[in-house]
Amino acid sequence: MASADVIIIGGGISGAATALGLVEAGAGKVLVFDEQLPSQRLSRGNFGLTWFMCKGANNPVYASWCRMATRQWPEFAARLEEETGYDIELEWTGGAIHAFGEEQCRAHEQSIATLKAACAKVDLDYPVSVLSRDEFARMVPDIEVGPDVTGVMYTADQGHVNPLKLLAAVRCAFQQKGGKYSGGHSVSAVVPENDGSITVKTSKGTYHCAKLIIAAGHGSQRLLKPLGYTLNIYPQRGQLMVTERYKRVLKIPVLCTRQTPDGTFIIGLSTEDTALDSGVTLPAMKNQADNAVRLFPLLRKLNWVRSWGAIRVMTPDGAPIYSRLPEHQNITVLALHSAVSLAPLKISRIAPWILGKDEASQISHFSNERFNV
Amino acid sequence: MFKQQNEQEQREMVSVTLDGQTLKIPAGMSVTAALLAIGKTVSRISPSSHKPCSPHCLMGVCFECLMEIDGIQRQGCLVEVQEGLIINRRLNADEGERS
Amino acid sequence: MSRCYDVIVVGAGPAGLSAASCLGEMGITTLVLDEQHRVGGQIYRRVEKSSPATRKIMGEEYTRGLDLADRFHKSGAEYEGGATVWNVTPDGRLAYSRAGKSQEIHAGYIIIATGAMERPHPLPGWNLPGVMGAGAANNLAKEAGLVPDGQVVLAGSGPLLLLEASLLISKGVKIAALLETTTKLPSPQALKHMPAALKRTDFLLKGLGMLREIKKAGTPYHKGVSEIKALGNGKVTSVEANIGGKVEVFPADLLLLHFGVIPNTHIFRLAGCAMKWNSLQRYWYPQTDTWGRTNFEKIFAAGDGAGVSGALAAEYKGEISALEIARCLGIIPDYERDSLAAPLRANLMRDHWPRPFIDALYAPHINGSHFADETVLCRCENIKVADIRQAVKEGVREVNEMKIVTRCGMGPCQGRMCGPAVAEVIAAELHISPEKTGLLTIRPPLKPVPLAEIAEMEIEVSAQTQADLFKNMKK
Repeated sequence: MASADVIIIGGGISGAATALGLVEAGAGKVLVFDEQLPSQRLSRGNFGLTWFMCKGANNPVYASWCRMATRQWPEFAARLEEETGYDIELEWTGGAIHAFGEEQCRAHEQSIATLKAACAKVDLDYPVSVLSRDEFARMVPDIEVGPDVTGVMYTADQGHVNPLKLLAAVRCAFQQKGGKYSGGHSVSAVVPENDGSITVKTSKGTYHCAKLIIAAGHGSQRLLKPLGYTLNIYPQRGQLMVTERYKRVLKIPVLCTRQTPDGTFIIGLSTEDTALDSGVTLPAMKNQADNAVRLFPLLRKLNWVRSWGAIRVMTPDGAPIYSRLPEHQNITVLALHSAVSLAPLKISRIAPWILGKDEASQISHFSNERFNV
Repeated sequence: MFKQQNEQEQREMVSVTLDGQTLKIPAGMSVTAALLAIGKTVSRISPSSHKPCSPHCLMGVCFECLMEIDGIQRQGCLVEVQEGLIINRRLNADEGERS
Repeated sequence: MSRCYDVIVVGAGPAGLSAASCLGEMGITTLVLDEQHRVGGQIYRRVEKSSPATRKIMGEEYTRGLDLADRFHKSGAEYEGGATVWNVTPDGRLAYSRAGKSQEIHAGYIIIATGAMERPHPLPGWNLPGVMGAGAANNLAKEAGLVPDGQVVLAGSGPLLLLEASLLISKGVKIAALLETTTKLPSPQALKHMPAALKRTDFLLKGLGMLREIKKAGTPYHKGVSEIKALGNGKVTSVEANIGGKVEVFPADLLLLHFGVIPNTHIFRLAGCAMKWNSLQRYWYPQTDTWGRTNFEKIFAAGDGAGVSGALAAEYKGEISALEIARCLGIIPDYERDSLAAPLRANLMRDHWPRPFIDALYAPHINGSHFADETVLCRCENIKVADIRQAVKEGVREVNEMKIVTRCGMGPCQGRMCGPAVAEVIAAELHISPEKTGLLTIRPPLKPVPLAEIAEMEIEVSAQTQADLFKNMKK
């Protein structure tokens, strides 16, 4: 039987970044098993924002967690690029959420007030403000802002990234540092042993490890069920569309529309409860296209070339789950959306926590058991 | 690269604007075929390699004859020639609105 | 309420036209949508407008399209050309763009008859201007009366390569070189099918006739050629090839490539049809029953898109699908469907005799490990063979994963030109069958559509779909 110090089930952004953090923290022999199923693909269907704005209105710890992640992003990206040679296309340009009409503008102001109050509880500022239509138009001088736009919510302290390059770069760095990534590798069962170690049965043989991390998205439930454990997660679909390339005219990402450095526009803001169906629907495409062309009328003439659906791992309060199994302390589960925004923390905080080197108070707020009251 | 098989055959020609210049191209065929008929073999500059491309399949599969026709990027081999079309191949890097 | 038809036929080639004619003649409300502006598909492209000279050169195999088109026009089926279908769902909904407007329509049944395409075979320099598919030259002849000019080199494999060569010769084109990758002697696999093929001497004699034409014209004809490269700066100026161990260079103004024909399957994959792998011909095709029905009750596949068998077979298959749909709609009973289908099936069998021999004789000899590192695989995104190999080293084992890691297949053609070859390269690296490397997931739109057209579509958006900017942020 092959053995390892740590096995990670799931090679998406959270699993791969945690794996990278583990090899960097000297965890020994680390293996990642990734099915590469072309199905839910949360880490393959991400919009690519590195944001904290609007997150954590009812959960100040989550608000500060997101803020901490974004602050670490520029340095995290620079290091990753230097080590791997990948260009992950991080742009630290700030980010905006538009408002059509006064009512939406007032909702933005209300959201800012709520979050400022929440952040104050943990001694955190919340540098977000509402800009008028004209103020925003001056920030994006190369593209016409549609007449329906009343204003935007904006912060300078966030940006956007190519999530696919991020995933590839993280996996590359992990392997450069001695980790072993195994693609097309499926896990069938997780068996805790009496001595606290774990046996992992896979499509390519049985493995044995001292610590196990389950980061398999919605596929995690299947592995946890035999252990009598249920994650408090549910599937939520997002549908995205992408256009043909156009010369670079929009440097600031807007929540539902951003232009990538290679010129394509990514459009998407759907949040549907559709179980695990990752298909795309015409009504959502129409709705998103309509929204995008109202925001930036230039997009009317651009071709829509591709679309996809991806299934978020959503929790009842929207914050991540980082949990050790109460009965099996060497098994950790990671279940979350916003994996791109939170990626730096997988290395700086989650990996050391898994190894028992950092028992920071924040992480205890993200246990799966918080929902079992 | 290509010539007319029957040089005596009289073809109907119509005026279009190609890259800002007015010229006559044969009608009754696709834009891509018509441009090849008048010796315009380069259809676009690849936005990824920045090198010139020529049409490859002439049946709507390869997307090498994507060009701006009346303001929209279209597969030239699927657009029928009509009087007054405005076609832009944007062959110079500095006018690369879409590169 | 959107428009509704009994049957929508996608594609106006031999399969689509015969299916629609059969349906229309029975009074079944049928709409044919086609990307081209005239009926005929690729094989009978522009046949109704063709000149007597073109008809003479192209021969009976081309003019047969006139009868098909004539029958179709009289059948009562509706036709819309210049129509780009960009979505098909298993429940019979279809979205298409025409004249700057997109709409969704419904049908009881959809027959997909979108035909085949030349197998894209990446080789060094194949993306240089002046390198085209041989089918493109054939299309230009039919559509625009154009013939290649200057130094013309043909390269590849398959009966259609020789057919194109003999057609060009008959038009007075001097071919500078004909480079065939097929081996000099037929394989035992091919010879096994020889007896069946002999039942169709007409077919085999035609093949021999083509070879005689090529020889008579004094065309430099090389077999067993490998390592073909298009060379040039800004356009092709010469073609290099390994001929019997010796590297030779041929000056060229135009290089026409042909490596056989494969089904054009994007539309089936978009609809979610179950796909099967043909391990001899190394292509995917939709799984169907003997009536052409896919795994979905309402979706039929007819013609070369369902598996390559040529124009005549496509015609028969289209009609066979139409008969089954007519039965489902209650227009004809079972026994009539069967008796009408019987002669079509007999024709189909007769047409099929030589195919196993031809297929085995020209079976593609593709070895993903033979692709040169510097070859551009994905023309849209400029991804090279070496990039694919590197990604495999970093753990990628599947084509969709390859797409997200490298952008290979992410450009406007959506993997039509690189998909088959990427699977071959991954498969060779991992020593597995291309079948095991997956198939690119195809989502709408099948072809690019301007965002304005989508925004202006008349479809209802439910509250569930309605964008809620703050749904996840209220938390």
